[in-house]
Amino acid sequence: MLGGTSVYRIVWKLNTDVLIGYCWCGESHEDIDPIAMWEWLLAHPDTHPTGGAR
Amino acid sequence: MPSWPLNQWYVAAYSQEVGDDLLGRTICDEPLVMYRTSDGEVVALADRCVHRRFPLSMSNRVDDMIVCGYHGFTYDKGGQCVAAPAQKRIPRTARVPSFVVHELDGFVWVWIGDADRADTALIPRAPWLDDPRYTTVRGMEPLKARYGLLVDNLLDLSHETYLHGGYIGTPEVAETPITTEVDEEANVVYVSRHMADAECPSLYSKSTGIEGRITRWQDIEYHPPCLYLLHSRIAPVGVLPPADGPDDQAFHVEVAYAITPETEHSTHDFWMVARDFALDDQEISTFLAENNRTVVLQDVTALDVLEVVVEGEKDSYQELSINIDTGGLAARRLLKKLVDEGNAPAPQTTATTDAPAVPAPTSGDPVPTA
Ligand code: FES
Ligand SMILES: [Fe+2]
Ligand SMILES: [Zn+2]
Repeated sequence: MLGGTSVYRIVWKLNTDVLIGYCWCGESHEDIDPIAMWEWLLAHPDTHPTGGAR
Repeated sequence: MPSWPLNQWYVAAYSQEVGDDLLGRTICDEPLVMYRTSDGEVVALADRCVHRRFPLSMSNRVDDMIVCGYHGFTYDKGGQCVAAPAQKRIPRTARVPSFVVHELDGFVWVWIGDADRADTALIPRAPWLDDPRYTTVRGMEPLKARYGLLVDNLLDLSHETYLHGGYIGTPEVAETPITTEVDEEANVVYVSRHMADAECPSLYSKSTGIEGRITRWQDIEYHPPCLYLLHSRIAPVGVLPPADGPDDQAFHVEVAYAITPETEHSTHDFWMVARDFALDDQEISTFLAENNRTVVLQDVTALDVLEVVVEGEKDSYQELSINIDTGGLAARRLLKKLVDEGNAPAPQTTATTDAPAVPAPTSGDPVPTA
């Protein structure tokens, strides 16, 4: 696991097709398409209302 | 603009490849000649004589100099021409470019970019490749495919089940979900696949002696553009690393690749397998080297085919990505970011102040006259 302060993490939920993305700001999001998932993560802070403080 | 990032370190050779002989190799479209001086220092020069372009790698080494094999222009280790036949005065411009190199972890790294931006602190590390606590086997295969195809291949190991079935591929590799991480500041992609209860591929049962099923972890660390590390942990089913103390009930195999573009359509595929067990067992070394080379060549064959396909396709071709591609997509994006950064002008190193770039004229200053 990477320990930096700006690490994006995408976990593939066991026995499903669901991906859960975690932004370094603390926001998370579920999706079933990796491209859409990266778009959501990289749109920080636009799509991450509560975590946009940094 | 090349498709690879400039102002980056690339592996040009294994340290052991560079010795007294002249080694010619093209790195990122730069033909290089490399050799080791009598002091043990590695030299990399442009592999083209300034006179009529004869490759210096096909010329002769005399002491620490290269004498061109065509008409005898003689170059010192800095690339300066110091002698030419019957010529009393050598033009100062008679020199071949020299490249910044640095040896680390058994590699010769070369800086492709502006020499004054080269910083050895930026070289990613793989210290086990040059550590007596590990035994490493290695090789290098020429790949007739663009480097991005090898990056795609290595970032998604689910292909092991299909392309390397019977070798390192077992059903569990493709069936186990992955976790992908990207460190945006350090520029690292991390892909981890932890198989709790998996078939043991013959490569590992024969080399470790484990019989029966295994807990198999694959943790990929990709440091774009060049260095790919696969930390592989093999243990009997259920054996996890202890909370503290050494993880000595498991076998650790450190696979590494250096992915170095040769041209836009070819790549140097450097591969290594380091292990922390059976260090002196020559039979295991031979077995791991032969098996791994077979696996690498399976990839080479597939990627050589893909290169032809990609070159021939219409611009409008659309790929389809699924969950297994999460890491590969991340690697592509970081590469693109590094390409953009490498093409940008060097960041200003002078202290930043709030002063405007062009000092505003102060009223009363004399106006300079032409
Ligand atoms: S080409 Fe090298 S000396 Fe003429
Ligand atoms: Fe492979
Ligand atoms: Zn965010």
